[in-house]
Amino acid sequence: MTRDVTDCAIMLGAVAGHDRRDSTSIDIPVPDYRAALATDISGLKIGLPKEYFIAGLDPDVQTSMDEAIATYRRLGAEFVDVSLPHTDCAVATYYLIATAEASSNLARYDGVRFGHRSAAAEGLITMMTQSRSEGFGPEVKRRIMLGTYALSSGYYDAYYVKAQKVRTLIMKDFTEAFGNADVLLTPVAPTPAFALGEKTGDPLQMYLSDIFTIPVNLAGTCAMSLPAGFSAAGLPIGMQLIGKPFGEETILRAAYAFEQATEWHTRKAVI
Amino acid sequence: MAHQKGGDLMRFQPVIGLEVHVQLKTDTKIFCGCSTRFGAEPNSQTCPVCLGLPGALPVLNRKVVEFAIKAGLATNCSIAGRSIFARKNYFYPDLPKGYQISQFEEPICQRGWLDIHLEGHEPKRIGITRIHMEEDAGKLVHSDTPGLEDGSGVDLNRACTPLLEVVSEPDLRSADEAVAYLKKLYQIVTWLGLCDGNMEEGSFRCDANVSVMPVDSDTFGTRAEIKNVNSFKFVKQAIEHEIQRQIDLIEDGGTVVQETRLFDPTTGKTRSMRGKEEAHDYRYFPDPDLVPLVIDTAWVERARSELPELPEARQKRFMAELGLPGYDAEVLTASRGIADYFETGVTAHGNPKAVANWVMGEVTRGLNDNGCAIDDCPIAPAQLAELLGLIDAGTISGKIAKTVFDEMWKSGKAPRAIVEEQGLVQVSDTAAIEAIIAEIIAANPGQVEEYRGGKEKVFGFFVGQVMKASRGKANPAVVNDLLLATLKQHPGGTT
Ligand SMILES: [Zn+2]
Repeated sequence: MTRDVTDCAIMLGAVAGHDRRDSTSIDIPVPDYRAALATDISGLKIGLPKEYFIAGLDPDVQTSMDEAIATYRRLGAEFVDVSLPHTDCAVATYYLIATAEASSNLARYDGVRFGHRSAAAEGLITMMTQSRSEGFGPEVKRRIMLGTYALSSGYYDAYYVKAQKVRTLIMKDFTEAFGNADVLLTPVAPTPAFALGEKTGDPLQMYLSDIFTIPVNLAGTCAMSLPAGFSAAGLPIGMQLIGKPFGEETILRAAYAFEQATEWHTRKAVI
Repeated sequence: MAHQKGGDLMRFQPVIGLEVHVQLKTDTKIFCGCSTRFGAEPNSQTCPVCLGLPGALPVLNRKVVEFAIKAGLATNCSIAGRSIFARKNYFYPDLPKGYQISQFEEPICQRGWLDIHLEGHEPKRIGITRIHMEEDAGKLVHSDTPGLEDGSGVDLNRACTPLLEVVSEPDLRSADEAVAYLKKLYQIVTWLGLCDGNMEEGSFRCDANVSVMPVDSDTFGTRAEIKNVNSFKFVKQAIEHEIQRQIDLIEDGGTVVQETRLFDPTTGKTRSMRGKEEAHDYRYFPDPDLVPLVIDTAWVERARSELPELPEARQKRFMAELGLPGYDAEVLTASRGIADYFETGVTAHGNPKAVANWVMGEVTRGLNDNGCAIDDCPIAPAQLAELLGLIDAGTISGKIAKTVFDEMWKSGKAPRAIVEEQGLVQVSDTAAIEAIIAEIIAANPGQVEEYRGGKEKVFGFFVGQVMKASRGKANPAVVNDLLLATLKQHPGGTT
C-alpha cells in the first residue's frame, strides 16, 4: 500500500475511524499512529505460531524469517512459541464464507440499472442471465457458483454454518495466542512471489498461497506485511506482523523498528 | 355415490395461517434517510443505499425497531434481546440489490397471541409465531403508463420502506376467523400509529396459507399459499374459494399440491402462480453488512411505557366506567380517533350514552357521506357537546338538532349561532301552539270526525300538520299533550 511504515501510519490515520454509514465500524477514537513509531522495542513479546513454520515452507522464505527473528532479538524483543491449531481449516472456511457473501453481493449486477447490459437480451430473464454471463470473468463466476452452492437449501448447514463455526474457533485461536504475545510474526506466503498469471490455471493452488494471510481476515484482527528479503531468484519475500484487535500501534512500532534496522524496503524486485 | 360440487364443508376442517405485511409509518426508510411518502414522482425518493449502488451500506432506522417492539408488546410477544437481519436472495427488477434484507432466524418478536371474538362464539386465542422487520421492494410500472408504451419502468421510491411481517400460527379454522384476526391486528397497528392502514396503497396486505383436512384427522393437509390480498372482503372471498376448491379436488379423487396461488378479485377465484418445483431457494444467510441488533430491557420498558391504552382495555373501561352497552363500546373503539373523539365529547357534555348515540349516528354518517376520517371531522367534540346541551336545555328538539348538525358540518359555525340566525329556537309556549292547533282542527273537519269516531291513527296526521305549520320548531312533547287535550275536549262534535 505504501513504500514505508511511516507512510503506512499516515495513510491508516486518514482512513481509520467510525463511519456512521457503515454499521460494522466501531465508534472509538483514532490513535496518533505516527506518534507510535519508535525504534525501541525492548521487551516486546513476539509469538511464532508453529503452524506457520512447517516443513513445506520454501527454504528462501525460511531463511528470511530466521534473519528477521535474529534482527528482532538484537533489538531486544523476546520470542515465544504459540499455536493457532485451526490454521489448516482457514482456506476452506474463507472460501465458503467469502464466496457466499460474494454470490449475494454481486447479485446487484443484473443489468437493470447499472453495469453491463447485454445487447443480445430479449426479455427479462435473458437480460439478467446474458448480462451476467458476459460481464463477469471466470474467477468471479467460479466464486459466485461456489457461494451459491454453499448457501443452497440442503447444503447451508453443512457448508456455510459449519464454516462460520470454524471461523469462531479460528478467532479463539488468536485470542489464546495473544494471551502470551504482543504481536505474531509469520511469513506472508509459503513461497516467494510467483509470476503474473503463473497459477491462474490452478485456482486451488492459488487459493492455498493465501493460507497465512486468510486466518487474520477471518479472525477480524489487524496485520501488516513488509519486505523481509529476496529469494535466490530475486523475487520479494514478505514478513507479516499480526496484532491484537485494535493493536495497530504495536505492529506499526514493531515494523518501524525492523525497517530502521534493515534495508529491504529500499530494494526493488527485478521483473 | 355421486357427490355434489360445493358440498361437504361438514366433512372437512380448514386450517389457515396468515402472513401479514404491515407498512410502517416512519418518516424515513428502514436502512437510509429517504422519505417514505407515497405518490411522489418515480425514483425521486432514492439514494445510493436504496438504489443498491455498489459500496453503499445499510444503517438501521431506530424508529423501525421501536415500532416493532411496540407491535410485539401489543400482540403479547416476547421481545428478543438479540435479533439478526438476513438476506433473502432472489432476482427481480424491483429488487435493486438482488436480495431483500429481512429477518429469518432470530426475529425481533416471537410467541405472541391475539384474541378474536366472533359473534355467537366464545373468544378464541390465535397464536402469533413471530414478527420480523424487513425492507419492501420497489414497484414495476408497465406499458399502460404514458411514456412507457414499449416497456416497463422501475420505481424505487418504495424500495427500502420498512415493513413488519406478522406470521400467525395455523390456528384459524374459517375465513370468518381469518378476517376477525386480520381486523384485530389492523386495529392494533393503526391504533398504535405504526401503520396508516391504507389498504388500497398496500400498507396492510396479507398472504394466506390454506389447507383442509378431514374433521376426524389431526394431520394438516397440503397447503396452498395465496399471495398479496389487500382487502378484508377479498381475504374472505379468496379463503372461502380456496377451501371449496381443495375440498372439491379431494372429493373428486385428486390431491392438493403445494403451490403459490393468486386471487383474482374480478372472478373471485384463485389460480396457480407457481408450483413447488418453481419455488425459490432464497438462500437466507445473516447479512454481513449489519451487526446483531441488541435490545436491552430498558428499551423495551420505555416502549411499553409509551403504549397508549389498547382498544380492548378501553372498550372494557367504556363499559365499566361510562356505562356503555358492549355494542357501543366496541363500535366506539374501532379506531383510536373515534375513541378519542367520543371521550373528549363526554368530558365536555357529561352524558356518555347521548354522546355515543350522536357519534355512532350523525358523526359516522357525516364521515361516511363525505368520505373523510374522524381526524378531519369539521365538527369538534366540544361543538357536538354544545349542540347536545341545546337539546338538554329544551332550546331545540332532537330533530332540529340534526338540521343544525348538518349546517355546522357545512359552515363550521357554532350551534347556538345557527339556531339564532335561522330562528330555530323551539316553541314551547302553549298559547302559540294552541293557536296553531285550533287552525289545523278547523281546516280538517273530516279527520277530526274520523278521530272522534275511534280511528286513533289519525292522531299522527295532526301532529305532523302542527309540526309542519310551526316549521318544526314546536316542542313535540307540548304538541302531543295539547293536541290530545284539544281533541278530547269536544266529544260528540257539533250536534
Ligand atoms: Zn434511500
